[in-house]
Amino acid sequence: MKCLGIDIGGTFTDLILVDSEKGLATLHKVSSTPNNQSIGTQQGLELFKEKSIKLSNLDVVVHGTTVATNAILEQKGVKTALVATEGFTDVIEIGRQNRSNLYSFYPKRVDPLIPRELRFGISERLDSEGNIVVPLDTDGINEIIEKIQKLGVQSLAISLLFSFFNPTHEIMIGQKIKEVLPNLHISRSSWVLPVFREFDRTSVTVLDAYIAPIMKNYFDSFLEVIQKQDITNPPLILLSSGGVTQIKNAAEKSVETVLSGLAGGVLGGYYSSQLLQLKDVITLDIGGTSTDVASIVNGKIEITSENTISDHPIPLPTIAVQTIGAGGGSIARQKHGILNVGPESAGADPGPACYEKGGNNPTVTDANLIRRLLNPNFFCSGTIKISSEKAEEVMIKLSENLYLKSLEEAAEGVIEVFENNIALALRKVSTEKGLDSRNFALCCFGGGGPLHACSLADRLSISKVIVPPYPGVWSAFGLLTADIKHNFIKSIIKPLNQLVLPLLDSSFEELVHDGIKLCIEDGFSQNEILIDKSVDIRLVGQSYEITVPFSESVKEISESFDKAHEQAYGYSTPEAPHEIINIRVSAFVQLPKFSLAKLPHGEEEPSPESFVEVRRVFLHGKWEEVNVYRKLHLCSGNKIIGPSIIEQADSTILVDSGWMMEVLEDGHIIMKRIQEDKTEYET
Amino acid sequence: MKLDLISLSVIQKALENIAEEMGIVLRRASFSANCKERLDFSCAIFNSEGELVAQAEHIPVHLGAMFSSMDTLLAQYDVNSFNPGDIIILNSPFSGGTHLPDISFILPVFIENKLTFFVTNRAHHSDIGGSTPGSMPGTSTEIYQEGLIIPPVKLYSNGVENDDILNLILSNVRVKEERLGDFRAQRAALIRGEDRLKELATDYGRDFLLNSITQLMELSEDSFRSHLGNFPDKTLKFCDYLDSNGITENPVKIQVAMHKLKDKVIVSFEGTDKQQIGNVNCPKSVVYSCVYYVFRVLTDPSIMTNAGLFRNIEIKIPAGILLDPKIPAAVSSGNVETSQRIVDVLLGALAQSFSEIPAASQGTMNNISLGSTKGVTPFTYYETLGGGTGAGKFHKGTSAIHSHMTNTLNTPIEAFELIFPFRVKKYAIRQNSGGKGKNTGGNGIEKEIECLIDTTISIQSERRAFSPYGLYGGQPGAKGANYVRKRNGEVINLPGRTITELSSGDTLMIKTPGGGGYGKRK
Repeated sequence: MKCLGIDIGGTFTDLILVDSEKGLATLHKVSSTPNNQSIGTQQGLELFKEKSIKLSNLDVVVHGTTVATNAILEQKGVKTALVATEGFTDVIEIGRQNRSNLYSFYPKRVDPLIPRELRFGISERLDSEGNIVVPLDTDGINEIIEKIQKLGVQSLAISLLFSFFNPTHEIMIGQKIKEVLPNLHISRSSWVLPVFREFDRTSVTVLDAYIAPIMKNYFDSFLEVIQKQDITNPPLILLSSGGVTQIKNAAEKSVETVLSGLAGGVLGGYYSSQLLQLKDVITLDIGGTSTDVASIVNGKIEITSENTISDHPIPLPTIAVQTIGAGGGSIARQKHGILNVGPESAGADPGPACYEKGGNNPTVTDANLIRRLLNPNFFCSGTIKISSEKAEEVMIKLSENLYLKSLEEAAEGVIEVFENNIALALRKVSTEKGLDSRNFALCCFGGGGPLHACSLADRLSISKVIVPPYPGVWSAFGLLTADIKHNFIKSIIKPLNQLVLPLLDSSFEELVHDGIKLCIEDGFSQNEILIDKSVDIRLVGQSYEITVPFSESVKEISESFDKAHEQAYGYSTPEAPHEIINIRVSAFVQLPKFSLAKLPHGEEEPSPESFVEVRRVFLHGKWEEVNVYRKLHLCSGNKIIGPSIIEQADSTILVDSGWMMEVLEDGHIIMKRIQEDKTEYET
Repeated sequence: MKLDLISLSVIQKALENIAEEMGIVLRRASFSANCKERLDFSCAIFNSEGELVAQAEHIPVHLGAMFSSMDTLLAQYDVNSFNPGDIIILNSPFSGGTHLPDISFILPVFIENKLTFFVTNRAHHSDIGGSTPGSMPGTSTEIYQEGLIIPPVKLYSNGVENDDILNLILSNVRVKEERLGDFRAQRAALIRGEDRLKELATDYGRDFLLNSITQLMELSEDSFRSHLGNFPDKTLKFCDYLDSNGITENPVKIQVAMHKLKDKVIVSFEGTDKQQIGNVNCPKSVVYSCVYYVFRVLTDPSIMTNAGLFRNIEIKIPAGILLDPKIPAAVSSGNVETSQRIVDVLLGALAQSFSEIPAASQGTMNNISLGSTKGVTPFTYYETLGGGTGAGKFHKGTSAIHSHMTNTLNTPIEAFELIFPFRVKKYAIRQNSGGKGKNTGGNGIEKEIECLIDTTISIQSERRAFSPYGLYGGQPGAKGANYVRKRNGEVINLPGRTITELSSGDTLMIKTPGGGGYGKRK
């Protein structure tokens, strides 16, 4: 199988071509081109051509994109209008009426994506069961059409109160407008997300309308670019949920691509966890400016409906990724006696001080260079020159501010604070959810993940660490492991008892039908399609739901909920009445999986060829001599005891003191904490 | 001990995170709309002397009030009488509480068998008994009308629930299942905090941890002191008025004078009116919250919020005034309304010397309680409405948002109508209600709620008679207004504080105030 993954991030566009028969992976990293991301893709694809690698006979092409993300973050969507129930056009501006910063005299709120003059009220009203109490004012629609035409609106969102129970009015408005303005994009809330809570639903519908025309244009130009390179397969697009779909379907509900850029890494981690047969894994992706963490629990990637993008809620099922401003470029500063590292980052330009491109603040990368964990002659295989002298120069001032005697102590302090910030994020996806971190393995990638992995694992009492074969491009690799997936959610809001079952059956049937339809449009046949049903349950009176698998037995559903509640909050009340809030359907098709190239088998002792040098590095408050190896020459079965360093083109792995690593057949590295002698504790 | 700034940095983050995590547990496991949808609660960690160690940023009005409940607790209980697994419950405004619906839970944390911390949270419950559903009667004249008073008592001893006390409390409230659920959530949050503090003490050792906390407090104290350099050598004075005392139309005066004395700021409320017959009386703990809030915003946000930050503020409250009420004063509005005016007064004084101070914000929380015990299922519902914030030298005001002492979320209209017998007819930004000026104040909110059954409404709102002030030539914000549109179309004005019976088909209409403008408009 030959698969191509194209992952476009803020700084770099990564391309990975895997040929599973030949056991080859070809990687390319080119600078991203934010104004038109297709240009970066084109430049990356040209590099394959230069190496005479044919792209005409690919089996799968998968693409992860940040086009939608950027359009929202930079407020560069199209001119969009909103039709809402009369009296409620300000809902998207009022939001939840709270301020994000408590202690500010001038609370700032993100500007609504649709200004007041483009928000139109229409007379109509449904009650809380979906019954019509005020009929739709059809004449009002004509007035709105006139205004839309006059104001040059390019896209329209429709969101009416209680439309998730009864979409009739939304559909009527959409049809009537479409008749007059067939080219206008329309997103309606009962289609985008038929669930209750008007602000969240309207907000996500507005996001969808706001970016839809942009995504359509982008997909057109992306298709053009890849077709120029003789790629004939219809490419698949990665969605925020971690599933992939054909471009056409992605364009239908483009809001689902908002977190596409974050999902690839988690999928990569998931692939590694499956390969190593680990059920509970935390994925950790440390990049230049940010770190993404997510959890895989009981063999499933954690999904959330509570993500946000620049304060706009995204109540769609998306991969639960925590992103924090901590990366190699994070800047260290001392203020009021306290050392802060990040979220401010030196980015790629000027980059850390050691890049000597004008950065004058000590960063995490500078600190690691001073500790000599990074090799100034082999940073990105030696393609980027970094200067230890410059790193030391900027660290001096910080060490004085921290009353520390030496540079290396300051450097280690920077790392201590940096790792602590990441550890807090790791806790958010594990212990704060009532999960015991000790049962997890940590899967580390991104340029910086493998260097900090053992130390972070120690902080969470994790005793197993996984490093994938290509940590620096593992997000791009993750794209190739995705399955076709379509998620649907619908509000029910009824007591959980036997009486609700017929309603559930018919509602599920509807969603399953939609799911199958989309999978078939993606080119698959009915018998390849798998269906996953789940339900959101809460106790009557609560306002947070827990998603549990659906079962025909009400008792089983209740029990799963009680168990999950106990785990999350430390108690459960099986006797209290339960209610069912939403049903969820996931329709998916498993795409064929390929295997990674096998490494030659070696002895426990690594070959002399792999040995680089003995280096004095600063670890745990003292200088000590450690062996340095090159990953390229390691064989499966090689074992190395920490402290040791393993260098490869896209990352550096630190096997910390108290840890031992082993190279696996497919190029993964597994690190385990060496069991302490138990008798020591007993005495 | 060596000053270890690295460990300090890490411990500060860890402590803040523990307080935040307690909040997450409380929110998710709770039942009443107040906790789960509106986030009307706070979580904090104190040391064994009752000094604030860390708090999560939830509701400013709880900021100083949490200290006071710790003070009372330690005054009332012998330190040796605490045991692991104890939980003390309290709500008495005369014992460190704010108003009766705010119920605090406090759990002592033992490390190495020594009392080392207290973890605490305070949640606004939708009802704690009294004369009206929601326990916020608009026209109460003594605290007994406002609900059940809970002095500090142990609801749990050694981890065992005291059924007698629980029964007593639940027998006095309107929706007892909801109270019980929220109590469980409050307890679950404390236990999470306890677990995390123990882990932290294991990582660093008890003595090292306590030493670091002392140092963190000193760092906060130092930064406050250095910030004080900007305080002028003159006395800053200001006064403003509450619309009424809740019973009569007489305005109530609040006055402040601030000056620097060596390393301290002295804040005196001399000149403020006496204790009132209505419920505008404001417990001391709330006054502390207001003063701490204002100085918290004025100092650098990167300074940790702990006891050290406030050590050099001295607050003088003369005996007998509105701000130090004695039993049986009614206080339910002190926390939610008087607090906002105290902030307006403090800011008005500071504006004379600090250019970053804004004009007055809406100056009210527009408290609305709806309830009925007549229908099939009795219910109570409570909400507050945002309004405009004041403009500043370089900023316009923000519209339809909560300001200063509160930050509670609205309840989604669909969530509200799914549970309660009402239909919201309008929820919109109130245009042109912000004060004009070089920079315009933020606009208020307009909300209309139709009753689908007969309902008792209780309103506590302010700035219906006196507008939010503008600064430096800016116009004041528009006053708020409350009305009822009867079923037959007749519109009746409601006062700022009222208890009114509405019939099915009547519509309650609220317009919240705009923020003051800043500077003359050219």
